[in-house]
Amino acid sequence: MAASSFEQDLSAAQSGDEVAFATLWRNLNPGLVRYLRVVAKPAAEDVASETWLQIIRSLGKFRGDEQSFRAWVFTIARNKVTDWRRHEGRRPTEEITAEHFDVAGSDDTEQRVLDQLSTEGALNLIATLPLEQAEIIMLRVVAGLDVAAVAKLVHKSEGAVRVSCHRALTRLRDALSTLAAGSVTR
Amino acid sequence: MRSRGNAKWSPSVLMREMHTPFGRRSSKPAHLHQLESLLRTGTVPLGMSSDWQPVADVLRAANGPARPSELTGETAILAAFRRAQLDVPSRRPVTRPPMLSALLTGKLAALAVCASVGVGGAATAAYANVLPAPIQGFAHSAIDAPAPHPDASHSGEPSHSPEPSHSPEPSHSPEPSHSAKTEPTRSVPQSLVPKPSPTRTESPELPPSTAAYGLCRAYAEATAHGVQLVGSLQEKLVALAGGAANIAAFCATVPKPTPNPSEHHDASTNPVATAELCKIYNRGAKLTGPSLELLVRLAGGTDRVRALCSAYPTPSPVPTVTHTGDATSTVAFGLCNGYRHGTLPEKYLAMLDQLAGGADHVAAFCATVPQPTGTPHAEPSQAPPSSPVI
Repeated sequence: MAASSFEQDLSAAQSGDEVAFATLWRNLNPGLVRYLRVVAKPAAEDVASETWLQIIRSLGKFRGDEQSFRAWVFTIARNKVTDWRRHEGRRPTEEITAEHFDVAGSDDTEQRVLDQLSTEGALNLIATLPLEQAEIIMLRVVAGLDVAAVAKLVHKSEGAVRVSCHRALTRLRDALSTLAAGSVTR
Repeated sequence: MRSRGNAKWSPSVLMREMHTPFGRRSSKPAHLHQLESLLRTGTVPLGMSSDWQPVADVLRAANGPARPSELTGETAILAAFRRAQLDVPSRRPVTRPPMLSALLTGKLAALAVCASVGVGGAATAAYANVLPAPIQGFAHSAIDAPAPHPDASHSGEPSHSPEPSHSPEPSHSPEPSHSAKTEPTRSVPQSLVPKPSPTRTESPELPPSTAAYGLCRAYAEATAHGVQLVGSLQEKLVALAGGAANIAAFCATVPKPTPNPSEHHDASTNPVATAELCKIYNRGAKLTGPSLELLVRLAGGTDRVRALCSAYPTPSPVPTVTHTGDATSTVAFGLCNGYRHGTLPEKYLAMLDQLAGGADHVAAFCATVPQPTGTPHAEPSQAPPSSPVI
């Protein structure tokens, strides 16, 4: 989505243009649902709906560019997640298994993982990270926010966000190596 | 590929790695700027080990094209958007799609009880402590009626309204959090507001004459406004009067209770609230706002709080932590830290709510909690005891 068309869509949506709002929704909802799927799995759809209703209520008052709009949307989502978590408990952590990758059979798991890694499999893998790291990875990669925006969103320093990213990526690398190595012995 | 048949994987290494998938392994270190590039582009930058290729694949896949399931629901959201446009002139809240409206039915039903007896009737009903707990809580702070009984349950109110967000809105949005304006349950400590269940129970701690007086006032108000009492109010009054036909006669005999309950609200009238608040007080935690006011009122004065609470033994709420002031503040710091990061499990949230004196005081409470001396500010040790091990 080009910035200029984003600004047009935002402006039109703020004036009540349903088509423009639908464009914003289609551009943002997949990333939003994926983020929620990782940080609030059982409630992802509900929290996404609540987030959009809040966006609708507050849209007219938003001022900013596309990056800040994304940050705004994910901030609302994160607040909704916090509310949800207070009442429903926390995302359980899981261990990584081959099942996370949607791959059947195991004689060539590594190849399949590398060749056929689905979005779902990737989200499942990221969801096995500690919550804080998983969230930061999703905000960086899927929400497309930069370090500064993520730091503000999760109330941490930019340095802490970088460290979390580093740890998360290292864990992913090690987990993938382990998984691939495990497939050798089967 | 890389590892298939690779001799470096001795069986013992493999077993260990398989059981500790996140175990640290020696590997070539990556530079931060390389990782940044990996995050941004989903490709392994030049000069970075090919070990990172699978990670790049994962990141790209996570950011893959939209799937159909992620684009369902557009109709409902657009309908909500349309309705919001109609509502703009009057600034009314957005009408929710059906999936959310069910959650709110209970709240509306509870409000209907108030509406049906009129404002004065609601006030007297609150006085009689027969309103649903969240409304009773609001009445408690607004008109000094008795606090909601912690065991009281009632119809409908969702345990969690989807609408308000306890967390601050993003700075771009000037719209205030709805919780501050419209969520009556937040006006009393969360620990005193029970989760509702379908049927409301009696309020046994209130003297019957007090309840009767409140009900009769409600009845009088309702009659004066030409409406009828409904639901549990009506049932209670009928039961007390011994039949609908006897209400007027019965109410004529009910005296106004002499001591104002709000002035003499000692432990015997609200034992659970007293116990809860004293637990917090005895723990040395700071009570603020409505919870402090309530405790002072329960004790009959600021100078009597200590005496009142001395009857309640200090509990040991946090396992593995000794009960000194310093330890408490360390725990508070850890809890607040987890709260800020959104990583606090439910049971610790409840603890934090209690420490803070209510869910809506958590943010303010945490703002006052100092970092314990000797606690390094490094990232992992900031996390609460139960957060994921990094």
